[in-house]
Amino acid sequence: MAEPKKTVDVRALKSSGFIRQTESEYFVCRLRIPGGNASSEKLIQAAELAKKYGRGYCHLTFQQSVEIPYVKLSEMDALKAELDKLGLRMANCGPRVRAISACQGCKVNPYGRVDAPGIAAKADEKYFGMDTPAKFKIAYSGCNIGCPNPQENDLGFHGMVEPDLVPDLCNGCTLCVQLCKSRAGESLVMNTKTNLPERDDNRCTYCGECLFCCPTNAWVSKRIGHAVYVGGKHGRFPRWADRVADFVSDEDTYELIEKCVAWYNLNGKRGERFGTAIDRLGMDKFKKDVLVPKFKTAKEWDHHGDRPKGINYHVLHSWDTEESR
Amino acid sequence: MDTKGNGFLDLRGVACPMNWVRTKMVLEEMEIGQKLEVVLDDGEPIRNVPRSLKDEGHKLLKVTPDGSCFRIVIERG
Repeated sequence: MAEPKKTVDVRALKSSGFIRQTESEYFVCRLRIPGGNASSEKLIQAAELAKKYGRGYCHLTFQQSVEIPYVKLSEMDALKAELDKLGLRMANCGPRVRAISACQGCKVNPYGRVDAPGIAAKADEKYFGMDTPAKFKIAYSGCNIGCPNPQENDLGFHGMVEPDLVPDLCNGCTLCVQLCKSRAGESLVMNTKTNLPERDDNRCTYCGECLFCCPTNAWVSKRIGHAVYVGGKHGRFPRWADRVADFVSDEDTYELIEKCVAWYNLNGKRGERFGTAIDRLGMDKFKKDVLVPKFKTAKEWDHHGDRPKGINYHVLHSWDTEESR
Repeated sequence: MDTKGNGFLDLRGVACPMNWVRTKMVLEEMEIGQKLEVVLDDGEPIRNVPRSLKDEGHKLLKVTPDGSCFRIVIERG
């Protein structure tokens, strides 16, 4: 029970970003870094505060927060006041929408298809901290390499692009066909009569490798958007997310976050993760309640939706092993 | 494809970015319109070297798979 001198509401502290450590007189201060981008000044300030209030080090969390460990209970208010003054915001913990994570996106990574950190930061402003039955993690990836693990978040997005060929610009070098064959989706074949690549939409992963590699810019984007994955999680019983929609616009990802959180709050039991609630009530019900008729996948996918049907993954193996990224 | 009278460079086992540096050095000695055949490994090399060629205004004419590597024909731009 509470000690007579001071009452500590650990749960309230948790929601504001102070998390109790193993040694109960110490707390971790979790800072909010939406989309994983923080200015140099803010990182320096955080480092200085870690020296002043912690033990001179920061922990970089898996969800892209910067944490200051070993903050004394008695100094928490002073730290909070300094953070407020500097404009450093705190993240959260517990059953609510967490700080939204992202990769570098298309502005930094040439392979990226969407501005993942920009969209994530906007979504974070709108939805961070909304109460949910259990933790709710959201990740935005710029492309389908998926560095922020969209398939392992409650709600995950990755950029995708539908390629279109401008025949007049193509000189028939076959580079796109070779690269697609060995690392994308085996979707392209060379038409020997026309000396142009032909794309089989059923086998396409919409990764944009052909746009990325084309020496003459003959491949252009027909449409760009986000693939949507729901119900992923780590934990004692990990669950791989299910792909439920394709080519969703930036704005519509916000609508989906709203709808998913509302559905989760209506249907989820206390402490039950999003994917578990979907499994308990059935994917069909979830789709009917949240997605129909606006959101759907571009085609029927294999294996939770992360693979086109009928491609030979053994020849795609080089993508996983040889890339150093 | 006819590449006679022009250059040939075997860059198997040469990692990025040295494969591009060596390609560039040979291309700089050549006349505009001349052709250079280069053998590149699969993986990063076949992705990166063509991209550098594009940035520097050279033309990639043909890519042919050859076992675990690729033969590419470049036209000096």
